[in-house]
Amino acid sequence: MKRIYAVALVVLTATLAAQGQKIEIPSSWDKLAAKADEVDNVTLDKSMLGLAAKFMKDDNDQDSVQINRLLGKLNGIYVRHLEFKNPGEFTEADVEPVRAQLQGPEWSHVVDVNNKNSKEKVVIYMRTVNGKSGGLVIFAEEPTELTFVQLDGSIDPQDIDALSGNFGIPKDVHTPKANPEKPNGATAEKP
Amino acid sequence: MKKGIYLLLLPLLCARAPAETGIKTVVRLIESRYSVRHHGIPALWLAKPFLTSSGGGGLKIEEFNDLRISAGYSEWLREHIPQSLGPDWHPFVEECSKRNREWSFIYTKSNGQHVTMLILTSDQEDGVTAVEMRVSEKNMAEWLDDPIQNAKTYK
Repeated sequence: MKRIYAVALVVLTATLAAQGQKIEIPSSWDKLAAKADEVDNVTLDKSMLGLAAKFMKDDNDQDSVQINRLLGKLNGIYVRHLEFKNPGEFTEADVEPVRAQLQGPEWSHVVDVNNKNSKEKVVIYMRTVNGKSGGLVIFAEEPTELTFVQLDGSIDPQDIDALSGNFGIPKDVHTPKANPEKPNGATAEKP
Repeated sequence: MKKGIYLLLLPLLCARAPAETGIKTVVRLIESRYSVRHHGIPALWLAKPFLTSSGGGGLKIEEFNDLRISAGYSEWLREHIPQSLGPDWHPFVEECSKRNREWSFIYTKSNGQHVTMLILTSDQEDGVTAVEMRVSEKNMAEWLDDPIQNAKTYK
């Protein structure tokens, strides 16, 4: 009988551990969505990514080969995009809970782009679990737009370039060229 | 004698009833929630050969011409449709525009070979429309390429 409890405990622990590895869409996002003029959500889970890999496969196209390789590493792609009518319709206080969920020892800023002209800010957060990439979050802020892209799986920031423009991931999200002087937590600032 | 009849009927009784399609589930949900009746599209069968030739098929369309659900009030459906459809269906795209007073929710189901897409759209002109269809590999690849833009242009 004790054996049953032991097995159940192992299964339960494994389930919780698996759940723990998943990045959740911040609950505060729904509050922001209620204020937004346009709301777009794209959800591609593991089964859909498997189909995407099958349907988009073209061995003669280098981009397609690369995308297929990346899809194999991912468990899910989740895109959340909000558009507001006027600047100032969301405040720092509205956005802070979203950022707060991307803090902690597992999270690091791998790219931080702050364009003062367009008032656009893009931060790429990476989650590291047991020394391996556990996923990426791209959070882009503009005066009237917010975009939250979650790439769940063992993916590196350099891989974003190949995926941007597909699966609802904005085309203009790219990884800036690595700065050899600041390999980690690099902050790129555009004039 | 009775035993024999029961034995003959047993396979029929045990056979699972065909699963309800996604569109029927969504139509029933809307009808019960908003006390409205759906309308089919007359002569839809005329369009089916064209769809089949392009690799798609299984087209079903149901309309609620008199029903207007604004983007702000679509939240109830967004929450309840996945529960009603069950785990076989996956949310794919949700697109909602308060500015244009329109929205669309798209769900997919796959058997590993084909993808069936269920699209629920609403705009001020045509009301609420539900479409279910099997999509070809080419069409699905196009959808995956830019899901948000495709959802916007579908309307």
